[in-house]
Amino acid sequence: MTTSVLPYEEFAEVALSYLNQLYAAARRLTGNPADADDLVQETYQLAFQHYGELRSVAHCRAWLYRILHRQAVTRYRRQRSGPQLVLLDGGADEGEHPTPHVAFDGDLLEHISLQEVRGAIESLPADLRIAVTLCDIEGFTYAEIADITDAPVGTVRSRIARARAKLMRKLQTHAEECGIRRKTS
Amino acid sequence: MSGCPAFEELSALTDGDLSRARAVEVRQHLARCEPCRRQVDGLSALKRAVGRAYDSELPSPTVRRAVAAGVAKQRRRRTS
Repeated sequence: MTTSVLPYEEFAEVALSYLNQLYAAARRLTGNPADADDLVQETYQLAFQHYGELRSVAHCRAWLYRILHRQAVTRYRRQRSGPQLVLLDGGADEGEHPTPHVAFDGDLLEHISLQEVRGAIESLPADLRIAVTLCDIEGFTYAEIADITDAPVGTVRSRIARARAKLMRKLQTHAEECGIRRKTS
Repeated sequence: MSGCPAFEELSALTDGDLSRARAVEVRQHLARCEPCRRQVDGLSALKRAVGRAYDSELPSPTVRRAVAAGVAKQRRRRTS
């Protein structure tokens, strides 16, 4: 077993300070409280077992998210053939070119509810949704997201752009259906 | 406009994740390209909206207790 240079008490204090954030991320990943509870408990259990692998407390938050996401994927794969999908997944990514035809009018968002925005986020394929929420909600850099999700940085960048293109299209369509007009042509 | 940066680069610019040299080039382009500027404005507004889309969900007391118990268990294991 690896000997840690990080005092256990220091690690435990820092790790516990991220409990609320990790739980919120787990809720977004799983879509329900029961699975989020299990996922967070498993994450901390693994973190306490393996904290010797952590290089410094500065990396603690990203390291915990990495465990959380790995565990979520493991649970998803394990239960995929069962009656319940643990990882909330909005469907397949067709891998289309991300460039929207028209620039998205950000002012439209003032007239769109947060519930509608959440709905659009949750309709994204899991890979795209995870990348864009780690970036925009959790504030991780592309390099950190690459580490958390085990993907190359270029893939992370592409996933975030594709997620945003899809969100723009969906929210633009919603705005048009609701008669919300663009400010400029 | 020809020579416009890819959407992916505009998206990365809003995250501050372009290289410094490329970010300078893209910003110079934005200064003279209205459609790309509008695209970046839209991307920035979307980033803010996603960032505030969720209320913070708090863990139940059961989860807090279970995690705290995990800390204590590991501490005992280390000191025994």
